[in-house]
Amino acid sequence: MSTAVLTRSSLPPISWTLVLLVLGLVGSVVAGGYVISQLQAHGHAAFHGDSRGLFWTLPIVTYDYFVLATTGLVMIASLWTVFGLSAFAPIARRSLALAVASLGGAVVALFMELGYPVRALLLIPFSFTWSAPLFWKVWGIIILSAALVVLFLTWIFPGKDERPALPAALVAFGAAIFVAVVAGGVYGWMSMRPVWYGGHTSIAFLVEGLLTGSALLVLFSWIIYGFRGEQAGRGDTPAFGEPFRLLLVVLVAAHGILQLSRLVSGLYSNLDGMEVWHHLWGEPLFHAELWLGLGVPLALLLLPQTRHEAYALPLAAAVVLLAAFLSRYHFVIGGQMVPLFKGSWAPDLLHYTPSLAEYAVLVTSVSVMAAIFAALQLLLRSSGSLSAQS
Amino acid sequence: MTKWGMVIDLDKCTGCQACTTACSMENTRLPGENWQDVLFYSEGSYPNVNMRWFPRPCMHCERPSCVDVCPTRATYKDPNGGFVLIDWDRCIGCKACMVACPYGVRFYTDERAVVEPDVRSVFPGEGKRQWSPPYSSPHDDPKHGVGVQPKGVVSKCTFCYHKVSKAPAGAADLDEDDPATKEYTPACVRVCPPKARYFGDLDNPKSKVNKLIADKRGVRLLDHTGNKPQVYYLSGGAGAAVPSSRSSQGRS
Ligand code: SF4
Ligand code: SF4
Repeated sequence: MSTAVLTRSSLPPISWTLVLLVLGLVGSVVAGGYVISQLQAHGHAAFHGDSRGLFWTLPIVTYDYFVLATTGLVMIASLWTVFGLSAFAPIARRSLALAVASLGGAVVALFMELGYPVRALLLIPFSFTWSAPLFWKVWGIIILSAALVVLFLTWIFPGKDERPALPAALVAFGAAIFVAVVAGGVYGWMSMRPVWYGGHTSIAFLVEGLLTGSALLVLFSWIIYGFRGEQAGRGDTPAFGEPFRLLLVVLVAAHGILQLSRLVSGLYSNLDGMEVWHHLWGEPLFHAELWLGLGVPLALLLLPQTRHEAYALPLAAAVVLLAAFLSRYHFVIGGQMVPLFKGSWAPDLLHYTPSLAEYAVLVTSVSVMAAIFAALQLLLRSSGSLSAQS
Repeated sequence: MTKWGMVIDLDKCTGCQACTTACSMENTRLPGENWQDVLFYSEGSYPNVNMRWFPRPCMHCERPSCVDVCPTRATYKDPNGGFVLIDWDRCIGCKACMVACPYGVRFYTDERAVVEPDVRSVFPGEGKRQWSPPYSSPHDDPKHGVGVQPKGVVSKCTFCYHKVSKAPAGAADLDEDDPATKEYTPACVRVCPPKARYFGDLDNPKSKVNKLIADKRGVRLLDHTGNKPQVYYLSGGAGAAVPSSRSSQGRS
């Protein structure tokens, strides 16, 4: 079965990809340089975590966010590469390119967070700590990366029109699900942390991965088409069409149900540690995440007045991405806000404000992702592969 | 096989923090980054105020969740003595163990100083050391997490591994009043003025720690977690009471 082949006229204009590349590179150098200079001057004191209880902070939020987006992007590509749904064929390659870029952004954030990143690379895969979720997560990412490399070498760069070889696509799909589930398990399997604990956490991570992956794909497609949705829609990609609108609606709704059910059980429970939910309930940003983050995309995508407008999908995607990031932030930080056994040395609820260096980690990750994605697009274009994909 | 354990008698503990100070000196801790701490809790409001305190070292759990989550085997359970230790040469500073410890006893000291002035800038460390303390400290033994904490890794109480591991074979208890074991007794146990702390072999039926646990109904903290601490508390059978984190919020 062959996919729709792009005509030259429907290719994304090169100019916006170049702009993305330049912005990504500048952001990576400036923000990344700032983080590195701060780490050299102050070590990890440049970040605002502390031993009283807030151990994982904004860099870990960023890392998880991009890892999950990667898994979602691979799963979306799998709609074509594994399940053969031809409506998603034209965006499968772009989705995988974005998955690689997103993984790059994740790794950068993690490396800036870890005390010994190179040691981690050498030790985690070969320590065979069967009981550690992080061991399984890293192996999942290694296998996912290997499958992506194979897909790039055998399918994306050669610019083949037909579906890729099923084994590589299947491995990528399986690894993406595995990584999302285990990433949820890193939190959800911790019985000592009631805000995180529970089997539903992995399900929520799967849904969030799909949600952020789809939103990223829509947004970056829109950007490389020069912010002209109608252009992209007429051309090569259904990213602005009905399938994606429906997909995003379903995912936002699923994410909303999971969020609200956790919120209600959190507010209702009197378990020690769950008082975090009452704190979050008093936070304007939490309400923005919840009501605007869910309501605005649903309204844009469902109301008859807006749903067929070219701006509806990218705008909904942008709101989804922001809300999903806030959701990840509230989840990771909220789970650590009640300190375990710190007595009067620590307040009942720890408070955290990211440092400038931590914000710079986020900017670096976004920039690295943008730069890698743009570079891949250019590479594909120059190799001629882009005429077989969007 | 020896399995070292500690018993802390809460009815005797006066909250004087001698143990905290001794531990900090013995293990060259940065000020405020106390491996051994006495935690204070207050409940209620004047005139009905209840103040409690709670001495808290690492529990050297029999089934430590920190070991389970460590992806590099940096944190490990030493079969000889049952210590839970950290190999600083393997630790990557991922902090998963800090998140997974129900007792909050782990420290990543690459953070803003807990106590000002920051002694790390007053006594800058050489190489990977966080700082160079002006007083003597145990020989650096990174494989067992002993000595000055390096940058980028996590640390915690070692049960004074550098002393206890050298105790005479077969010793049932390590007691500061016994000249034969005094030098091998953990610093916090040795200095405790009301002798609220005892240290001995939990696998030796003749040890004093076992007798105390049996006679005075020793309890373990958060036993429901399944971590099975090797630190027991005596509290007249009332349980090792730490107010819940919600207790100060006026909920009933
Ligand atoms: S108290 Fe915490 S750090 Fe100590 S052994 Fe138990 S789980 Fe590990
Ligand atoms: S911080 Fe070190 S000891 Fe703790 S889990 Fe990570 S590698 Fe293991």
